[in-house]
Amino acid sequence: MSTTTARPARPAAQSRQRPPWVRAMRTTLWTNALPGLWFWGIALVPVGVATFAIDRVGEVELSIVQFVRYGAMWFPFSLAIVIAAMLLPVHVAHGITRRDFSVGSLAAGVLAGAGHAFVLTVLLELERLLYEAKGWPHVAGLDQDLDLAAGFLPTLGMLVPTFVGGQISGLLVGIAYYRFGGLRGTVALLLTLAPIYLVASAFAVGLWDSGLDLAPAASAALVVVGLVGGATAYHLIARRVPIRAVRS
Amino acid sequence: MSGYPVAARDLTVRFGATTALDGATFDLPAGGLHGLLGRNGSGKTTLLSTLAGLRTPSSGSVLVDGVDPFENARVMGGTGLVRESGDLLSDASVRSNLRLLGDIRSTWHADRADELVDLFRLDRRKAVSALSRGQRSALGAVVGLASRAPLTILDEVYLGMDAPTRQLFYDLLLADVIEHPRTVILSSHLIGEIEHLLERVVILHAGRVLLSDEVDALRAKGVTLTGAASAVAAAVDGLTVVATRDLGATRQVTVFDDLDDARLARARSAGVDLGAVPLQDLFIHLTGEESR
Repeated sequence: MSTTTARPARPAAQSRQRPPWVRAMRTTLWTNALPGLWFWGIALVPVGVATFAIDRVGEVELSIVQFVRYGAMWFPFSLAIVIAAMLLPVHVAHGITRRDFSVGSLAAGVLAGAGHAFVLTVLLELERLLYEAKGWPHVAGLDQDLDLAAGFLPTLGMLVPTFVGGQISGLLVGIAYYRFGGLRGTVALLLTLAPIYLVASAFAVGLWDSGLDLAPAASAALVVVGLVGGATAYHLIARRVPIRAVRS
Repeated sequence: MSGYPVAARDLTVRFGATTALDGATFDLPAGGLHGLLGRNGSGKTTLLSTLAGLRTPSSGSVLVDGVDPFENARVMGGTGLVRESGDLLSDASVRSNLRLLGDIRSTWHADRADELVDLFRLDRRKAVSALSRGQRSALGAVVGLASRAPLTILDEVYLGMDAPTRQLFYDLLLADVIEHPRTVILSSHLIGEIEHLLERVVILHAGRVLLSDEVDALRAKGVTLTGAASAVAAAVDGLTVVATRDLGATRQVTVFDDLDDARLARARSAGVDLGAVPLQDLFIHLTGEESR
């Protein structure tokens, strides 16, 4: 049998396409984006209802939007687990290297974390404007780590690393479960959740109930160690992981 | 000839105490359709996964287009391994999965994928997990064909397909490889259905390569004799018989041995018909002999 003739199947189109890590970043970012939009759509309803209801039955004494903060960190965290555990094998099985997927998903995690932080900061600012117009005190109250009087950029500067830490932890948790299995993946949670706790500790008031606040340099060091260390660990675990068949 | 050549050298892959591949060595030239045959658990999927860069060897090496495929962006981007239903997101729709592949694969042909989805009558709105076994296999075939990767590997992609769908798949595969030359490795149990497609075949058994040769050369090493049972028995006396079938007084025997011209002439004069060796007979003989 002969199969010569006609057009070759070399990937000539490859050069005019985006680099593989950019393709991986786009697909993982898209996986984050749609549920992310749903999250904000759903989260804003109870915020609006709660603000209206409290104003009706009592006095609004603190920020309601602030309570979205943990959801905005842990929901994308759970998406990042799915991305590492489910999208990695699909991407590698279809020709993206683990290295490119790792870089692409980390880049998408940074963008998604920054995006959620930006949305929350804007919402806090809008809430502040509303509270000022209504004469309500715009304070965090229960959550002492969040200083709502700090202004837009300092708040954004605190939320971005926190949310990016959530993304990196999610990717780490997902890849650890995929590579090491259920039992060892669960044991590894002590390490894979480290980025989120290190970054959160950097901004904590009265660290671990010690009453001590960290110096700015120590906070910065915790953020760098949490984010860079977590990203490096994710990359190292992902880069040689065997890819099992995806079952339908 | 386009496509990637493939080579394995003393390739061994172990999973704990289990040796899935044991010193496999073979070459497949660039271009054409090649077969990887082996019984269940012979190491076919492990071998194909290693060729696609999905795992590393325990020892030995694989070369795809002259280089180690593991984490090689060029080679992995040009290699498409389809395992059963195509390594897709099971809870996402057929349409979403095909869109995802368009985003991931540099060699993806979306128009061709659309044509193939119609030909295989797949519902684009259905989740992959909601498809029947045969439909999932057909989707795997769509993925393999529309990827048009220089090294396309189809690992038992026909599972669950009915006979007309399998024939459609073979016809489409052959036409596509002729129009867009590339290296295709087809792993299958249904040897009789695919042997006419293949240029070269590698037979694996218990992780070892039993045989690696061109199909035409293998066929030339043997012959099938059909005729009166007594005449056939006399003609094959002392030769390596790999299969025997009796139908009343008529016997068909497949011989894998050197038959000199004089013996062939005597067989013809005794009314025995001579034909090509079915690859399946040879496969059953070789793998059965090794099992004993």
